[in-house]
Amino acid sequence: MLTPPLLAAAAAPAAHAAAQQPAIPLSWYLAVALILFAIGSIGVLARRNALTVLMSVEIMLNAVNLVFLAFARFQADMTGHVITFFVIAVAAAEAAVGLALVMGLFRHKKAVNLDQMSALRS
Amino acid sequence: MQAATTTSDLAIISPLFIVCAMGLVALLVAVFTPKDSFKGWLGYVVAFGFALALVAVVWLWKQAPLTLSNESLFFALSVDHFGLGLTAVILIGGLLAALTAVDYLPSQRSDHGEYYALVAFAVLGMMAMVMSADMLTFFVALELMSISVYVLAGFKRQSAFSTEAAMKYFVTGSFASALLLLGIAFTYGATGSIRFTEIAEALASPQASLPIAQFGVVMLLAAFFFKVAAAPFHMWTPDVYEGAPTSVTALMATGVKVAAFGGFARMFLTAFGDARFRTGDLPWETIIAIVAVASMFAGNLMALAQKNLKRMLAYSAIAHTGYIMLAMLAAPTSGDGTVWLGPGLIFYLLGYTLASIAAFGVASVVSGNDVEDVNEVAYAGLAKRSPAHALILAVAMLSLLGIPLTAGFIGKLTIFAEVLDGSHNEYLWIVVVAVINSIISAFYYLRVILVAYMRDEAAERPIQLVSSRSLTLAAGLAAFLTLVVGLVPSRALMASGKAGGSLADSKARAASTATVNDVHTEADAPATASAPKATKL
Repeated sequence: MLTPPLLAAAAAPAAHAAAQQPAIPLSWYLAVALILFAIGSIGVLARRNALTVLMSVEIMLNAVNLVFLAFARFQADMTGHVITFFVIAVAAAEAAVGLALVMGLFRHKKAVNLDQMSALRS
Repeated sequence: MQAATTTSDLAIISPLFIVCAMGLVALLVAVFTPKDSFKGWLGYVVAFGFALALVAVVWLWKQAPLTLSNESLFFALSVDHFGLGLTAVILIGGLLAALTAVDYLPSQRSDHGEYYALVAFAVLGMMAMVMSADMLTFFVALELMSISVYVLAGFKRQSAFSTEAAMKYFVTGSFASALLLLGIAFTYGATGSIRFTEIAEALASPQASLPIAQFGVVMLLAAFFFKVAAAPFHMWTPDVYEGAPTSVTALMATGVKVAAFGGFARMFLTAFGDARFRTGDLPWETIIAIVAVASMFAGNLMALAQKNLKRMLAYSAIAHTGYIMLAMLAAPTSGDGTVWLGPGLIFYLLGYTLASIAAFGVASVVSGNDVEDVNEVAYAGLAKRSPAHALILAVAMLSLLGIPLTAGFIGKLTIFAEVLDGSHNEYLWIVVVAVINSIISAFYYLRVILVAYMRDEAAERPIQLVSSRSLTLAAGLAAFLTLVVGLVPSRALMASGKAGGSLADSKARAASTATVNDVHTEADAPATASAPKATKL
């Protein structure tokens, strides 16, 4: 049970942030997110270990989460926050399937190297 | 509109419910059936579910456009003719694809009941995708479809080919999902909304941040090209189509493609469809024109060199992506910025779905008992061994090629006519390119027929047929419908025209949040305007 003073204290930072512009501008958040996204995509495209690729995909998705949260915060809109939860859930499902596929790959090749996936090249 | 308000929300989304319920039933039953028993009957159960959902779609079609009274559903799903029409195409494809698997999976030693549950969930994702009215629904639906199909592609666990195909599809697919999300994030940042109609409104206002929206649209386009296997992003397609079990490839070539085209066409035309953007500030139409040409050439030229039937069909799928993209180029626009589609896109997708199921069905038949490759030798002399299957294959190839009297021909004709009409001959060059490409494609489609009819069966490797009634029925039905739609196209064309025209409703629909009663008269005008176009052909 929250007492009125505690409620006021909890509400105060939010009201404060909405009232005045945060110290760090939006473009900084976007720059960090895009750098993270670039790191992730380079990891997917250049690294050959399947587990590293999976982690890189997670970095990309989290970079996108950061973009959503930054935009949501600066527009004082809840939609972005909600989407983030959906993205986290979907990323978990995707990781589960990805790890299962890595297991399957390991059974056949005794390695998790994507370079060795050449059975289908003509 | 009166009928719409009396239909309850539960009835309106009943097709989604039926398919979801069938998936859950299949999943539960699969757990409790003995390991070595025949699981094919679950395929019939799921196919029955798809048929039931199809009936519900037809019932809803008569009352569309429907309005969901629950607010969050109203903003998430638009159950209009466009969504329902594409849902019908997806359900037909899913039904036939589920039937092809019944006896094919045991022949590949991977008869597990979960297969049918995954097919149902993938189809559920596809259906939600073409009905989605906001970015979040769109994303979740796309992921539901994609994740199910990743698993399906690797369903033949003991095969290195299948596992490899699934891994490749997973890596490229999740990369594309990340690009899609980044696109959604930046569109959201530029407009402050994730609903298609509100994005359109926000972009039209002068204070919208166009550079941010441009970046978002480019990312969305990249994801779109990945999902439909368009030219610079098509590298995964041949490997995945070849390695996945053939019944899964059939679903990938039809359902996934229909859903991706339907969903993205709605997104681009509703959210970014303003004529100022299409070739101006957000030049997605120009990009699509270039990619369409690249896809046609990449697909057709590479297909010429293929000896493997599945791999050849994969390249042909890339080429068909190019043709279908043309339909998005010339979306008619009225003075107040309302955009809709002609019948071309949906009709072509229907014809393509039927012909692909027939072709992949025959590919499953000749892939024999646990044979991985379907090279020319696998079906040489098929006409003498099994005339019915050879005929189905021939009809499928002729329809994919676009020979008159088949659905493929009418589809190509409709799209080309639409592009010329809609762009006032500005896109004449692209139609010429498409016709040249159709001529190139004749070489490899006709070669398949030649091999099946003129060559003799190789003595050292006789044809190994999977004897299956359901498989032959599904492929035969698909081939038969290809001919029916090709011979009597008027009804399908009318329906496609109505479906495409209903995209124009979305604008009225957005306005209807305040005044529900005005929608009917506004919404019907563009739909009827496009109807004469359909009958003209």
